[in-house]
Amino acid sequence: MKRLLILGLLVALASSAAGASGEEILARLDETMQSNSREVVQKMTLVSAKGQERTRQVQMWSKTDRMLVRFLAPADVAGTGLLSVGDDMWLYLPALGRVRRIAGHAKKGSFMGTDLSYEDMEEFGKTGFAAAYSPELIKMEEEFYLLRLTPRSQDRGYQYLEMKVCRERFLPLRIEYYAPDGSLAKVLTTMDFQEVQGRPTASKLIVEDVAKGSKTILEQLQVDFEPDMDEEIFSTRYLERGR
Amino acid sequence: MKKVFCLLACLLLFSLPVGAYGGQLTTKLEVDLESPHELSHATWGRITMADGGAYLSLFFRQGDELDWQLDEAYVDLRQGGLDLRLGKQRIPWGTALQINPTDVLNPIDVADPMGDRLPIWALLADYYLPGDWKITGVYIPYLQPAQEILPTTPPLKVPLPDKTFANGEYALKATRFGLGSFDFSLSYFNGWERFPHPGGFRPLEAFGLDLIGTVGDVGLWAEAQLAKPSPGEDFLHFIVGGDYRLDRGLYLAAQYYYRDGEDYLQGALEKDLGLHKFKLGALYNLDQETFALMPSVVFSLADATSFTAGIRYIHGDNLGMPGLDKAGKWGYGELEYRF
Repeated sequence: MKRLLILGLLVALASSAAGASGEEILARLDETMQSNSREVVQKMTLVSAKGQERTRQVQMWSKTDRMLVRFLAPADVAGTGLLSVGDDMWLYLPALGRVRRIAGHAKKGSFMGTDLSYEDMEEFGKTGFAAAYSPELIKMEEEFYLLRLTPRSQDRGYQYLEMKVCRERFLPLRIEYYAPDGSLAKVLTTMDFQEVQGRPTASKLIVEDVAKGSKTILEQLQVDFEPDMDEEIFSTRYLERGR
Repeated sequence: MKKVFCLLACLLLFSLPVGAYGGQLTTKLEVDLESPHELSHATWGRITMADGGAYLSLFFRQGDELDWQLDEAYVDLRQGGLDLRLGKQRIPWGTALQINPTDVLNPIDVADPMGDRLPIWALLADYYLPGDWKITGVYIPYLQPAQEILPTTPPLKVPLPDKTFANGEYALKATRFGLGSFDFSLSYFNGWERFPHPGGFRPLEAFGLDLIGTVGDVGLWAEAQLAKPSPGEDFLHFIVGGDYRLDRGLYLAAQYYYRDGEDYLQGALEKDLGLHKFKLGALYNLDQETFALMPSVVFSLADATSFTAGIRYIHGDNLGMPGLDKAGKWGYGELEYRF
C-alpha cells in the first residue's frame, strides 16, 4: 500500500513536471525568438507544385504588437505595404494609391502569396506561440523536445501543432501544422542557425503546403534586433508613402 | 508644346540614376466573339522616376498612333504633422471596390472608363493630428474635365470656365483611423462637374461619407455622396459592401450600389491557383435586368510578368456603367511587364 502511494505520488509529480516543462520550454522558445523590436530584409522564394519559382524581397519592421512590411521587389509588387497594429491591419497598394483597412479574415489568408498565413508570420517573433497555444511535452530526445501545441481559442486555423524544439538553442527545428480535420496541412523547417547580436536565429525557413504541394523558402538577408527606428513608421501616414 | 514638354520630361528622366526608374508595359489584343474578324489591339505603359520627394511619370498609348502624355509629376514636402504634395497627381478617395462615389476629384479617362482616373494639377495637404485623425485639404486651380464635348450631332465643344482664382476648386476631408475596428471619413467638394451639361459645365457641391471596418472576420464598407449641381437637382450615390476570405485562397466580395434611381449588385471572386489566379467580376442592374460577367485567369509567367486571358460578356445595352454600356461578348489577352 505504501509502495502504491509512493508510486502514485511519483506518477503525479512526473506528469505535473512534464506539463510544467512544456510551458517552460515554450516560454523559453518565445523568449529566444521574440525581441522588443527588429528589422529584417528577407528573400521569399515561392515554389509551385510544378516547380516554377517566383522571388520576392521584403523589408519588415516589428515592435511589440506592431508590424510594417514593405515589398522591395519584384516591380509588380514593389511598394506594396502592410501595417498591422494589434488586431487592425491596413494595406497600401501603389496601383490604388491609398491605404485601405483590411478585414480580420485576411489574417488567416496567405501572407503575400506565401504558404504562411499572417497569423503564422506573427507567431514567428512578434506575438510568440505561448499566447495562442497550450503546450504539452510529448517526447524528449537528446537533440530536441517534441511539443504538441493545442490552440487556446477556437478561431485558430489549426487543430494542433507538433513542434520539435532544439534543446541547445531553444528554437523550433520543425513545426507540423494539422488542419481542423486532423490532416497534416503544412510543415515548417528551420535551418542555417546563426548568432546575431547575441541571439540565436534561423536564417532560413522552408514552409511546405502538403495539400497544394507548394513550398516557400524564406531567407533572411539582413536582421537587426536593435534597430534605430522611428515609432512613426507604424502609422497609416508612413504606410501611405509607399511609392 | 506638349511634345516639347514630354521631350524635356524624357531628358529629365534619363539624366537620373538607374535605380530611380520604373515602369510598366502592357499590350492587349481583344476580339469581338460575335464578329471574330473584328480585332482590336492597344499597347500602353508608363515610365516612372522617383527620387527623394519628387515623382515623375510619363504615360503612352499606342492605338492608331503613338500618344505620349505627362501622367503624374509632383513634389512632396513634409514638415511636422503636415504632408504637402504639389503637382499633377491622383487623389483617390473612397473605401468601396472599383466604384467610389466619393472619388470626385480626378476625372474618368473616357478612353478607359474602368481604368485609372486621370491625374490633375492640384495642391494636396494632409495634416495628421493626435488620436489618429487626418485632415485633408485640396486646392485645384482650374477645372480639368473628363471631356469637353457634348455627345450631340455634330458633337459640341463646351467652353471651360475661365481660369480665375474664383473658379478654382477646393475639397476638405476629415478621416479618423481606428475608431473601434472602423475608419471613417467625411468630405466636402466645391468645384465643377467633370462632364459638360447642355448649358455648360455646372458648379457642383458634393458631400461625402465613407467608412470601412471589420466585424469578426468579415470586412464591411459603405460610401455615399450627395451631389448638388447648380442649376439642377440633387442626386445621391451610395454603396455598401463586404468581403470574406475562405480557406484555400478563395476571396469573395459583394456590393450594393445605388446611383440616382438605379440599383446595382456587384460581386467579385478570386481564387488562388498556385502562382496564378482566377478572377470573376459580375455586375447586375436590378432595374434594367441587364448584367455583365467578366471571368479571367491571370497567369504569372515570370517575376513581374503576367498574361491575363479573359472574357467580357455584357447582356443588354442599358447597364448604365461607363465602359460597359454596349451588349456583346469579347475575349481578350493582355500581357503585362513591370520593371
